[in-house]
Amino acid sequence: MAQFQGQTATSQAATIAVMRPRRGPVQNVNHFIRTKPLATVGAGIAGILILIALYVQFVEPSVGLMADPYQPRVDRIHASPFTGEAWFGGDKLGRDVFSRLVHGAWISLYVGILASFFGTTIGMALGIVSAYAGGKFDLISQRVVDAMLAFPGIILAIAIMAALGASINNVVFALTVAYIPSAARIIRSQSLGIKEMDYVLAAKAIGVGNIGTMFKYILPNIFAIYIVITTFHLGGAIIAEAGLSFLGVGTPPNEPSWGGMLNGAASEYVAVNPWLPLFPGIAIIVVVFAWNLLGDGLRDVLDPRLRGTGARQ
Amino acid sequence: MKTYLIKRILMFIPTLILLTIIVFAILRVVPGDPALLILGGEEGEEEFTTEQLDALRAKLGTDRNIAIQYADWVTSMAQLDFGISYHYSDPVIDDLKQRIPISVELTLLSLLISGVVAIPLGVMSAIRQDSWGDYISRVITLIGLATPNFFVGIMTIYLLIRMFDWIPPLGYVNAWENPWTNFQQLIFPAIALGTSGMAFLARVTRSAMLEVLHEDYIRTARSKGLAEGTVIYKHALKNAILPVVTIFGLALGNAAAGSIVVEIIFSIPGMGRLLIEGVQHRDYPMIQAIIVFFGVMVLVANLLTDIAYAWLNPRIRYT
Repeated sequence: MAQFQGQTATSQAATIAVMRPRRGPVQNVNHFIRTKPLATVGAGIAGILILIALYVQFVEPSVGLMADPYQPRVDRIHASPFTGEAWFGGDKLGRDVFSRLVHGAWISLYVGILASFFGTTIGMALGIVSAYAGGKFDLISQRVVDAMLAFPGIILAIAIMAALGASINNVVFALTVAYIPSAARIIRSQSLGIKEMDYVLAAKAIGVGNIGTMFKYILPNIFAIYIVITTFHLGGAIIAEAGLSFLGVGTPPNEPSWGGMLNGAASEYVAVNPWLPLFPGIAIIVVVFAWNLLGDGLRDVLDPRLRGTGARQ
Repeated sequence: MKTYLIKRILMFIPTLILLTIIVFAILRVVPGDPALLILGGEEGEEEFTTEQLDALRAKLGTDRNIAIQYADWVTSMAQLDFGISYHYSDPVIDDLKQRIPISVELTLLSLLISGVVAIPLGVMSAIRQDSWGDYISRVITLIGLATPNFFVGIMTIYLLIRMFDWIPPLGYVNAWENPWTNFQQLIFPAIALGTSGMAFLARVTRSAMLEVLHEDYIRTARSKGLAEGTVIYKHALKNAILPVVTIFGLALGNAAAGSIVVEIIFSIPGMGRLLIEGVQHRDYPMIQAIIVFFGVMVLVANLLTDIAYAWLNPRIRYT
């Protein structure tokens, strides 16, 4: 934890420094790899996925190694995998499943990263201000958070998508809104504790303003939890995007989204071409599993206090 | 207990009002003029006159102040009047009355299935911490958390077709009329839905149980020579079950949200299908009513959970 507190939390850092020698970033990574092998595997898979996503978005259009993911071809309709030129076969319109699967990595990560980043960041801002300001602002904002948390799972996102219409950026917006309340709730409760710390009192005593206190003294101590929540939200956002697209209210159907590839793949296609739902399904499971492993590991290392909150490894 | 109850119920009211404001803001303000949406047709291709537009606005009441519209909407909802469906042109409440029991049955059945499997699994996993069984159950629950429920649903149908050449009878038959058909229709969707909830519930049970097993009174119970079974079931499980009870509202919400997807996959005519069809037809009164229903259901579940928790755990009654 010491590396995130920097010079601000001097008293805590000093205690920790006595107990164990300070490590540099390289030693920290080495230590993480040694003590958390599963989380390292998760980070590896997540890293590979990011590389694939960047490749299909920025390099592939000019290289053109794969088939066009949008191009329907009659001879590819429900083509079996592992036989012809299309490695993973074709879908109901005759589009190349392998190409769509690989291109889907970009959509999954685009939505996952942006929605979890914006949602958790706005939630963090709301949580810190709410805890720091207290009083009426806290009371009202927490009731709003209560009301937003009452919408289960992807229901709030479905409502927003119903109002805005299907598009990738609308999915990002809908999921951002959906992730704000939970982040705000967790970070508010953590900030309440930090607000009472001696170093915050000391900062006030030497005349640091409200904004300065929140930025320099509370924010750095929330950062570890912030990273952990963002990682878990990222996995959740990938599943949620897939769910919305599966229901036909997320990413538009022609876009190669993993959830969209499973859309309409139920009973009728399962009988004709069982491979069709299998590939995107496995892709989602592997990617979300990897992010969750990484999140578990990061949580154990960065914030052991969160361990008792139901997601213990 | 009495003051706690009153406080808790008083907190419920502003949250409920805020919930309706959020739904109203999203679905009445964001999409724009409902009269335009109705007259414009699905793609905005229909032609119409200004008189028609004004007449429809007056009929729908959307020509009035937005605050009055909100107040009107909430008061009619309190009288169980959810307006007229744009798509079906019948009162929304009639559709809801038909569909709610179906979704409720599916959701509760799936919760029952997850509870029956997950709680013993979590307890076993905690008792034999770091054994092979624990390790396997942890990996399975981690994979379960990463598996989207629609994938479980699709695979369930696939296995039923492949192994038994059978799919559940389409539609829905009331359990009182024909319990066997009703069971056939709902058991597999409920299993598919319950599988997703299982992973979460098993993890919570395991960590709650582990926490309790490290308490001093467990060591005391063991050191005074009580049988291990008595320690586990009488001392540990009774205390460990409390955090599991508190997530009932959350689990119910997750199952209800998951039921949307499962209803689509298994062609069950419940609330989820109604919602998705509503989105496809831009049937805003229908969408609003269903979203409010889901939200209120979770709020009530949370309220009941908190009351049950206070009743089970005397420590929090006095705070």
